[in-house]
Amino acid sequence: MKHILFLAERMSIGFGVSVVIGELTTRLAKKGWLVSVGCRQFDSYFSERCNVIKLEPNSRAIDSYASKHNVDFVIAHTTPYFEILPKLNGSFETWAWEHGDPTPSLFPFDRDQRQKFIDYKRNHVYPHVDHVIAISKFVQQEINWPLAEVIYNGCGHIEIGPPKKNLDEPLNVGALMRLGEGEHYYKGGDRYIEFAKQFALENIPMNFGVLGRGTPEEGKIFKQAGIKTHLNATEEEKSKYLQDLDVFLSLSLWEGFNLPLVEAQASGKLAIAFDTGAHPEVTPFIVTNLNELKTLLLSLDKNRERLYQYTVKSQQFCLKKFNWETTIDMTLELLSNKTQRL
Amino acid sequence: MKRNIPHLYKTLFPFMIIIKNINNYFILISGYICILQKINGLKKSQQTFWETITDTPQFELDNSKIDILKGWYSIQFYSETLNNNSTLYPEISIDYGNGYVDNENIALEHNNSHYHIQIYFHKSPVGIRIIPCRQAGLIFKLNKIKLKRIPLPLFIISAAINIYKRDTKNGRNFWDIIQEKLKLIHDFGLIYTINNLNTLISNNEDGLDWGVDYTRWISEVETRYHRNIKTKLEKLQQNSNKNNHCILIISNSLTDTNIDVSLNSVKNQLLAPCEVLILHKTSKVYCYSTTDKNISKKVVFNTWKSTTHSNIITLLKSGDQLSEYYLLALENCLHESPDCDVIYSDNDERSADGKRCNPHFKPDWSPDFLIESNYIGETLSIPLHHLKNFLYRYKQPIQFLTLYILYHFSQDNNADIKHINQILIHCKHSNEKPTPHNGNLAALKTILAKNHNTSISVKNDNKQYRVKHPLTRSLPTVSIIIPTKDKISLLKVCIESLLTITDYENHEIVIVDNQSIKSETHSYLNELSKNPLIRVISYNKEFNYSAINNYAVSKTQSDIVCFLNNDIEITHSEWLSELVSHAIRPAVGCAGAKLYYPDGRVQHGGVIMGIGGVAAHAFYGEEGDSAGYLNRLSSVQNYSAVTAACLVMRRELFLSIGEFNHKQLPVAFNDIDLCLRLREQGYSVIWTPYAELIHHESATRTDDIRRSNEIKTEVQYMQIRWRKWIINDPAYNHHLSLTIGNDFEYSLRQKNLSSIDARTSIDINPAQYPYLIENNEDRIAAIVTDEIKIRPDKKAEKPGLSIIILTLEKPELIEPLLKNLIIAKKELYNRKKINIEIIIGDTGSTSPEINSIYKTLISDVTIVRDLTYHFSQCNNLLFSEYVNFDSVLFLNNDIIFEDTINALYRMYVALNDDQKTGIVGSFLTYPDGRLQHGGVSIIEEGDSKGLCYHPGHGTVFKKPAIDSVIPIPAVTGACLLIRSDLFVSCGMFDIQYEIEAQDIDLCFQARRLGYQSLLSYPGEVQHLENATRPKGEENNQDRARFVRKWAVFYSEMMS
Repeated sequence: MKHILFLAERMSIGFGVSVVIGELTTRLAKKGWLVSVGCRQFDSYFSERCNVIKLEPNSRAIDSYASKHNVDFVIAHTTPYFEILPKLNGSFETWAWEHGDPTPSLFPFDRDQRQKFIDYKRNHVYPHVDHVIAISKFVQQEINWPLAEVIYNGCGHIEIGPPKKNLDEPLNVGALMRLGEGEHYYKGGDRYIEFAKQFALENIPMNFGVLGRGTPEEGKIFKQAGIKTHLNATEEEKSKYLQDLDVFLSLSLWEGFNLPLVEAQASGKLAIAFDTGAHPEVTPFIVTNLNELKTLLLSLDKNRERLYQYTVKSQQFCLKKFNWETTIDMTLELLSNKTQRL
Repeated sequence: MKRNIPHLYKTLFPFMIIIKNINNYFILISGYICILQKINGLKKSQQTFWETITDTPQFELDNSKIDILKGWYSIQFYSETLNNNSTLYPEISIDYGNGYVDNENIALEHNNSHYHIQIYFHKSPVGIRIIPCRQAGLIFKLNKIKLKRIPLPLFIISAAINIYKRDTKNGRNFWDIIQEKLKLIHDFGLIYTINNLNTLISNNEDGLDWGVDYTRWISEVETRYHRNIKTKLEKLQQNSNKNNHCILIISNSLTDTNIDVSLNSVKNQLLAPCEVLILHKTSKVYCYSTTDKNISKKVVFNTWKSTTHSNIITLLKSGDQLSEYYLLALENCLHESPDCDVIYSDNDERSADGKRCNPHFKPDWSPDFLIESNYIGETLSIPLHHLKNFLYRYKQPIQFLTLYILYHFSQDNNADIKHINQILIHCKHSNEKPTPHNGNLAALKTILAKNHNTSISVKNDNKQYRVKHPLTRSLPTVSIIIPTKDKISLLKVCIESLLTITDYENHEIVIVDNQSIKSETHSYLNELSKNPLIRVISYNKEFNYSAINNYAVSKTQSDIVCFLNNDIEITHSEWLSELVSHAIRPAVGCAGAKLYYPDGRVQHGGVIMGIGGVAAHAFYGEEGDSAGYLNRLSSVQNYSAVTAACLVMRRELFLSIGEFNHKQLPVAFNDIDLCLRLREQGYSVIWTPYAELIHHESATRTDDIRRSNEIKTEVQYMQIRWRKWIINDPAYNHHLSLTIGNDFEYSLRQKNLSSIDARTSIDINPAQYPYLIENNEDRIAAIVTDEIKIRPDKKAEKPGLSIIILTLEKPELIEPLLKNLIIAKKELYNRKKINIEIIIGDTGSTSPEINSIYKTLISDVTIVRDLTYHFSQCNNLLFSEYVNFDSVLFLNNDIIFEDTINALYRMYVALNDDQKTGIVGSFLTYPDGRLQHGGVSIIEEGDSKGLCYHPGHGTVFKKPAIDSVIPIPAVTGACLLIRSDLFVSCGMFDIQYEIEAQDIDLCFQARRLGYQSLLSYPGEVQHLENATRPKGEENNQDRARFVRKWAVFYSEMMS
C-alpha cells in the first residue's frame, strides 16, 4: 500500500485548507491509499476523521517519519512545510500543493515579509519539488509557476439540496468570513458592514447575516450594523446557515479558490463576488463595485423567479465543475506516474 | 522518422511542397507527404470548406517528416471564399525554436488569383503556421499552398528586378537606386543585405523592424505618445500635489549663444515651469533668473536655493533642447514615483539644418555603463534637496555637475533612478571629438575614490573610460566548471588554452563527464586528472545542463564558481581576473564575458530579453571591433542576463538563489533564468568586454531542430515566468527591435500599445491568462476606485430621446451628421411628438471649421468642449450632466444614416415596444456595402473562449426586412440606444475599460438585470469605423477584465 504524507500548519475547523486535506485524505483512503497528515496543531474534529499526527516542520523529523513509515509522497499544503521540501532526503516524491498567498499589499505592516515568503517559494521551493499543484488558474498565474497543475477543490462535502424558491419573504443574504479586525479589509468585513448599513438606512427589507471565527467582541461590530452574527459554528451549523440563505456574498479582496462560495452554490444559493482572486473561475456572478452589487441584489429581489433560475444554473455549474471525484482522479493520475516508476 | 533529403539534391533541385485541395494533406513532389493540421479556430463546413470560428484560426504544417532548410522560399496561397466579396488576408507564422511570436507574423500579399510572399528562413524552422485570416465566421476553401525553395542567384535577380521596378515607379532614377543599394551593402554588408532583401522589397510597409527610418518612427510612434501624454495634461495641472519645476540651464558663459536655443525650448513647454535660471558658475554662486530671452534679474544663487518654491530642478545643458512635452512627461513620471532620486529620458540629436537624427534609445538605470560611457547625457531632473546636497560638496567647474551627480548615484545601490522611455531632449549634433578635459575624470575619480584601488583610464577619443575594479589581496578561489561529453578535440582546446593563457592563479578546473562513451575521451580525462589543478568528476545521468552544473557546484568549496562551456577557447590572459573582479562586488550577482566566433564576429554581447520570443544574444554577428550602439559593445554594463557559456559568480550566492532550475529548464534558458532571479533579488548582472573568449558554438550544436522541439516547454515556462522582462527588458529599450538579427534597430512595436504606460502587450492571450495580464493588486485598485465613481443626481425620466456624440475634429463627418439629426429632431417632434436633444462632447477640436460649425448650431445642440477623451468617462459625464430624456442614444461621429428620421424613430420604437428590451443597436455597414457590425458574440470554445468577436464582419451585408429585430448578446457602442434608468442601474459605462468592451459589458449587465439587447435594421446605417480611433488599438487588459467578469456568466447563464 502506497503511503502519502500531507503536511499543513493546522487541521482545525474554520480553515479551508483543513477541509481540503480532510476530503483528500478520506477519499484517497477509500481508493486504497494510506494517508497521514502531519501538522503542528489539530482539533478533535479532524483527528477523529483522519490519521493526524503532530510533526514538526524540520527536515530531520519529516525524513525520520517518512523513512519509518515507508512514505512514498510528501505533499505540503502550507508554510512552513513548503520550505522544508527541498531539504528532505528520502526516496519519496515531494509536492507543493499551493493554495496561494493573499496579495501582500493587503497587509501594509508586513507586506515586505509576505512578499519575501512568496519569492522564496518561487526561487527555492517550486524548482526543487516533483510537482506543484495550484488550486485554481488564478493561483497558478499568481504564483507565476506556469507548469503548476491546476486541480480544483470539490464541493461534495456539503449537503446538497434543491434550491429553494423564496417568492415573498425578505431575501436572506449572508457571508462567511473570519471576523478578526485585522482581516476586515482583506476579507471584506468592513465593506460588508457598510453595505448592510446602507440597506438598513434606505429601509430596504433584506436580512444580512455573517458566520465565521471570531470573539464576541469581534462579532459586536457586525451585530451593531444589523447583521445576524454566528460565531465559531460547527460544520453542521455552517451547513444549516447556508441552507437558510438566498444569496451568498463574498467581498473578499483575495481568494485562492473560495471554498465557502462554492459550498454555497452547491447547497443551492446564488453566490456573488468581487472581481478578485479566483472568483471569476468559481462563480458566474462577478461584480466590480458595491454599486453594481446593490443594483444586482435589488433586481434579484424584485424578480424572484429570475433569482431562482440563476440559482439552479449556478448549482449545476458548481456540481459539474467542482467535484471531489475529479479532484481525486487528477491526483491519482499524478500519483500513478510515480507509482509506475516505483 | 525524419527523412533526410540528400544535401546535394536540396542544393541542386529546390524542392516544392504543394498542398492540394482542402483536406489535410500536403503532397510533396519528391514524394513526402506532410499533414496540414487544424490547430485552432477552424471547423469543417460542408465537405470541402473550412469555417473560421475565432479571429485567429490556424493551420500548422507537420514538418516532422521533412527538413525545410535555411534559405529563400516562395509561398503561394490559393483559396476561395464562399462569399466572393470576402477576403482572407493570410499570414504565416514561423517558429525557429523559440515558439511562435504573434506580432512577428508575415502577411502574404495579394496577387490576382492568389496570395504570395518571398521569405527567408534564417535557419530551419521548427514549425510553420498559416493563419488564413483574422476573422471569425468566414467560410473558405483552401485550394493549394505552394512552398517553393528559390536558389539564391535566382532570388537575387528577381528581387533586384522587383526593387528596381518599384523604385522607378516612384520616380527615382537608375543611378540613385544603384547608389542607395551600394550604400546599403557598404553599411550592412553583402550577406546581411541579401538576407533582408524581403524587407527592401516590401518597402517597409509591413511594419517589420529592419531599417525603419527615424522619421517614420517619429511619425508613427512618437506622435502617438504625444497624443496620449497630452490627455494627462489637465489632470496633472489640477493635481494638488503638483510639483513646482525649475529649469536650470548650465553654461560656461553668459555669452554662450547656445543658451538661446535651450531657452526657446523651455518657453514651448506644455506644462510651464515656475522659473528658469541660467547658471554659469557655482563657486561664485551667481545666477540669473529669466522668463524670456532677456535676463531679467540677477540673484545670488545661495539666496535662490533657500528661497525658491521649486522642488524639482531640471539641469539642462546649454545647447540641449527640451521637447515641449518634457515637463509634462516628467510630472507624469513624478506622479507615479514621487520619491525618485533622478529622472532621465532618451534623446536624439539635431543636425545643423535642424533635422532630428541619431536617437539614443537608452537602457534603464545601468550604473556600470554610466561610469564607463555616460549614456545618459547632461540633462536630467532631480529634487531640489538633492541638488543642494551636491552643491554643498561639489567644488569642480559647473559644467561637470550633472556627471558628478550621476556618478554619485552610480555608487548608491538604493538609488531610485527613473528613465522616461521617450525622446524628450534634442542635443546638438557634432562630429567633433570631445575636447580632453580633466573635469569629467576628476568628478569620476572623486566618487570612485571610496573604492580603493579602482583604476580609471580614458579611451575611445575621450568618449569612454575604462574602470578597473580591484581584486582582493588574497585572491578568492575559483572553480571553473566544464561539463563535457566526448568531443575531446574541443575540450582539448579549451583546457590547454585555460592552462597556458589564464593569468589568474587561485583556481581549479572541475571537468564534469556526462556519460562520455569514447575510449579516447576516458584516456584523455584520466590523463588530465593527474594534473593537480584539474579534477574530473562523473555525472552519470541523462543530459540536464542545470543538474550537471548544480551537482558540480556541490562538489566544490571555492569562493567563486565559473561556468564554462567545453567549446570555449581562452585568448586573453586577464579574462578570469576581470570577471572575478566584478563577481566579488557585493551588489553584483554574476558576470559574463564577450564571446567571439572563431572568425572574429561577436557571438555574445549580453542577452536581450524578448528577441525571438524569449531572449537572444545582443550584437550577434557584429564585427568584433565594433563599439556597438551607444558604445554598448565596448563598455562594461548591466544587462538582464548573460550566457552561462562563461558565467562567474559567488558560490554562496549561487546556492542561496536556488542554483540552476533543473526541473523546468534542463536544457535551455537556465542561465537566463538564473540571472533574472538574481535581478529580481536586486543583484546586478554585469557584462564586460574586457573578458574576451572564443566560443566555437556551432561546433557543439549539430541538431538544432531536435533541440528546438525539446525546449518547447522551456520556452513556455520562460514566457510566462519572465513575461514582464520579455515584454520590456529594462536593459534594452522598448523602441528597439525584437526581431532576430535586428537588435538595436528602431522599432515600431510601441505603436500598437494602447496607452503610454501599458504594461501588457499583444503576445499573451487574455482569455488564457486573465490574471497575469492584470494582477490582483490592480484588480483591488479598480474596485476601490469604482467606489467613488460619478452617479447622476438628477433623474432622466421625461419621455424622449437624448443623443450623445463624442467627437474630435472631422468637420466633414460631424457637420452632415448634426444637420441631419437637427432636421430629425424637428420632424420627429412635429410628426410623432417625440422630444429629442443632441449633446456633443468635443474632445479637443481646435480647427476653425469646427468652431464655425458649432457656432451655427449652438441653438439646436448642447456642446461641451475640451473634454479629455475616454469613452466611458466622457459619455458618463455627459449623461450625468445633460441628459433629460428616458432614452439615450450613444453615437460615434462617423455614423451616417441613410434616412435619419426613420432610423431614429424605428430604433426608439424597438426599444419601447417591449419592457424586456433594454438596449437596441443597429446593423452597421461600410460604405462599400460590407457588414461592419452585426452584433457581438462570444467565442465559445478553444483558447480564446470568452473573448468577443463580430460575427460576419467584412462579409457582404444581406439586408433584412426594415424594422426587423433579433436578440443578440451585445451591440456596439458606436450606435447604442438604452433606457436611461437602465443605464444608471448598470452604473453607466464601466470606466475601468480603457479602450474597448465597455459597451459589451453594459449589454451583459443589462442582460443580467433581465433586459435583452436587440439588433435592429432601421434602414441603412454606415459606420466609417476608425475614423476617430486608430486601427489596432486593442487592449488586452480590457479583454482580460471582460473575460474574468463575463466568460462564466455567458457560458452558464446565456449561451
